[in-house]
Amino acid sequence: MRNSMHHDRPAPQDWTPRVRAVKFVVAGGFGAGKTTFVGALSEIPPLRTEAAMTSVAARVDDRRGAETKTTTTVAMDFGRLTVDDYLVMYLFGTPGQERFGFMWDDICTHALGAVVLVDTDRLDQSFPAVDYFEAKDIPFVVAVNRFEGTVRYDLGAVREALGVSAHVPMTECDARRTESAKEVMLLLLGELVNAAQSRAAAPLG
Amino acid sequence: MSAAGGRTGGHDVVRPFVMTGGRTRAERRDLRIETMLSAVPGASTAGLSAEQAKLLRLCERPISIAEASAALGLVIGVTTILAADLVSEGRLEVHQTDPVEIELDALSRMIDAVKAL
Repeated sequence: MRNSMHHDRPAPQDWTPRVRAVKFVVAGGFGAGKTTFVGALSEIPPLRTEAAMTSVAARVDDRRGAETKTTTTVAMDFGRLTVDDYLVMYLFGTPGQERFGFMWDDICTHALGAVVLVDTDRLDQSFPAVDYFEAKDIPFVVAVNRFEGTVRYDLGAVREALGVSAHVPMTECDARRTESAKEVMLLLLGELVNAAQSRAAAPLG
Repeated sequence: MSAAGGRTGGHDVVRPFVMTGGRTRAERRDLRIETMLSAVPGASTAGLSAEQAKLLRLCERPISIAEASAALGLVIGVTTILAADLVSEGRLEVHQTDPVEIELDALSRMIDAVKAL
């Protein structure tokens, strides 16, 4: 069913299927493998686009008594997985730098779920993502990168170091391998299924 | 204005917004990066800027704002504003995407799609 949006049918004349797009976010520090992860699950090579953003610099210009504003662009890589003619999944990699955290709202609004990729050499780079998704109540899973030849960490120790709540699923992952990325994505989707079932089972009111 | 009019990392940030008449936010708030757009059948490109015409043609098949931005080489915000104008002119339609509470059926289909990779 891949690429089913691109059937050999003519451009819609008088009928257009309503395509529902759902969004997932892949977060993690610089070099944690976000684009690789997106690419492993995407039916297209990851695309890059840019978002402009204005940031208020932390330093205040005393002389003018005004904050200094800087406008810059950040690159985002994203991929697509077509489910069928009516449903498309998008995976967006968040810009890696911590200072761009405030623009995540633009990317993450209405995200169904998120994956936080953790590089154990740079655990601190995962804090902003974990804090963000917890604060926004966006369901997420934590995937600790396990590249060949690197020291393996006890997941419990990583959980403690990151301050990740006990209910958040955590796993190991090699973002370069499609099978491994699939497992992480299925873990996240499984969480969403559990949440949907609890909602369905919850008594009204 | 300090850095606001300058170049950052080789990118001219401000100039693209000339295409939008200086606007940096779209009026419509329902246009997100993943929002799917499609051209209204028979919509004309008459009177459109080159960028808007390109955008409208890209939307002959449903396409997300993010993909359209990548294809046009435009910053997301600019694409969003151009798209909002085309929507208000009745040339482009928005596929509503508000899966705040996704239903099990859609999740099952996603799980199958990921497993099939």
